[in-house]
Amino acid sequence: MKAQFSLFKLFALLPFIGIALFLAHTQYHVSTGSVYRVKIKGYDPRDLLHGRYLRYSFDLPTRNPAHKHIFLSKANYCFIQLPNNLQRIDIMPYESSLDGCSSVVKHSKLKGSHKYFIPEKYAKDLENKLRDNQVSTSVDLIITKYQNFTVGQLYLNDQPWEDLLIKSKSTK
Amino acid sequence: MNLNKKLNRWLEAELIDTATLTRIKDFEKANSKPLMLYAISGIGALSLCLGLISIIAANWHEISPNVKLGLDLLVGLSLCTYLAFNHKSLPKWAKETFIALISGWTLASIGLIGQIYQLGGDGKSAITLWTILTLPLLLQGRSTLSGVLLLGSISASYSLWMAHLSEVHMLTAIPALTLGVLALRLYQPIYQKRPEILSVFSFIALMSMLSASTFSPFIFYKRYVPGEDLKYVYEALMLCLPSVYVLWRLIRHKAISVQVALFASIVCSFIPLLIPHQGDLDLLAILFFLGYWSIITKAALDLNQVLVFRLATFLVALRLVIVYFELVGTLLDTGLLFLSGGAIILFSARFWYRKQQEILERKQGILSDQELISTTPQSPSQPDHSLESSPSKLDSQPDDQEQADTSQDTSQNSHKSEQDITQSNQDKTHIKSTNQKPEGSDS
Repeated sequence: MKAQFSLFKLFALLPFIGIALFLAHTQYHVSTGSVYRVKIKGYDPRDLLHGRYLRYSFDLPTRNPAHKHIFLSKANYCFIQLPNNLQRIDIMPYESSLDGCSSVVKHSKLKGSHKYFIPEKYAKDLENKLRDNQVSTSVDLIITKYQNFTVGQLYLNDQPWEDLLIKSKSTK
Repeated sequence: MNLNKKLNRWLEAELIDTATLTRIKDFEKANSKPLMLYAISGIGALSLCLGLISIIAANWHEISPNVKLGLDLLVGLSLCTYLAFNHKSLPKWAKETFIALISGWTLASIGLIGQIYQLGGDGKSAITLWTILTLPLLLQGRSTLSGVLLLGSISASYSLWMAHLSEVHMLTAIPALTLGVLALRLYQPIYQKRPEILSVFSFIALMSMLSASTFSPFIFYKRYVPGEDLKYVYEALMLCLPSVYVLWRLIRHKAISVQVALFASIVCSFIPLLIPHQGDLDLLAILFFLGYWSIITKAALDLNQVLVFRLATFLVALRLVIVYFELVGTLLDTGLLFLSGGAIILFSARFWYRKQQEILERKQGILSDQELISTTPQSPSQPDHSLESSPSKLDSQPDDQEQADTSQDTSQNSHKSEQDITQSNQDKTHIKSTNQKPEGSDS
């Protein structure tokens, strides 16, 4: 009976423990991962903001002059940090060496559509700006040592998106 | 008709007296489930969960992420610790509400973290994490709500992973899993531990099995060439076999029609998918449907399941009506079809009514038989086999009657039977007086 009682306690506390660990894990990877600024493009021009999410895809190279035939399904992205806050992104086949890369992510993980949460009150303005190609868009891509990634800040013309939208609202 | 109305009717018909009526009412009052309380607390818990999810989805950009996460963790900590340390003192409905709330909070928290850290909205990972974290707690639940949440989380995770991996083998395993759930429902040691949860699972499994067996033969109406997919149908069938075997072993003590129903379910689900055809087998589709639901009717009849029996006979009759419209031709044909159709429907209605009465009478018979057994005195060392012995007693009833009739012919025997009756009445009086003793009197 005592063992059963303890087990119920564990089961009742498990959701909280799990969520706390998930949060800590995410925070750890975000704070220790390497950050790269990557350009993005609208995934579907007719429906840029699906609900409250900006749907986008990464604007990454699909060719490498050093490797003529690359199967995208069997390729990695090699992120190289250069001096003076510069960076280079190359696509490399699985078999090639990744020694010079600062971070690596599989193409399959980065391909396709991704979502970025936009609060409702800014959604319309952002959609207008993106639709008219008034701004260049990019995001901070945070890559962990386990070759996973999360997305950080969204930038419009290299400024945090909130700053630009608030500024343009106040000028109106 | 509600209980009060029925009791008043019985009182008027002098089937029960006022004292019995009061005792029944008191008993029902003491043992009735607080359904309204369950419903209100369920709606409350659902509303709170939806509120939590809506708050996350709403525009609360002004609040800093740290505050959001801090508040969220505080809510979760309060819910989880309160349940963990007070679950023994909580009433059942409150415990079940807490379990549902924690489940909702977990899903909402995963959504919140995903939103704040822009994790990209990977649905399958979120739902899988939710399932893993809440599965052990939901398994501790003792309500239909816990069963529904558990079934929802497991089936959502399974289907999302199946879609992501494009894994046909996960699809072919579904019939075997469905039958496995039904086997678990019939395996008493497991069922008795989690009856509410297994009832939810088995209800969905049974509905899935009936639906598959009903709709699969409709493929005969269309041109069907399985080609490469045939191997997956065979695979699904092969995967089913162990579950079918286990299920068959569990139902072998029941009526033969139940075993036939199981066999028919497998045949109706798979055979139409194994036969390539050009869409010209309409008659086979009709026969499969009518045959299958007739078997279900018989199985329901043998299991005394009035509701299933009614549904099955209704479906058979409905299908017959549809058949007339499918086969409709000239005016004369139509007239003849409607005439014969009407006759068949009237015949099935009569059959349906007679069999329904039969089930009710049989149920009544079993009940009165059990009553008789329960009033017969037993020595303390004798085990109570009242339930097991009831069918055999039903079978032996005519013989007993015959014996009683024969005994009336001879005076010696009649004297003996009078003595028996007197003895039996004395026993009954003894039981009654023992039952009427005030509680706590050991003598």
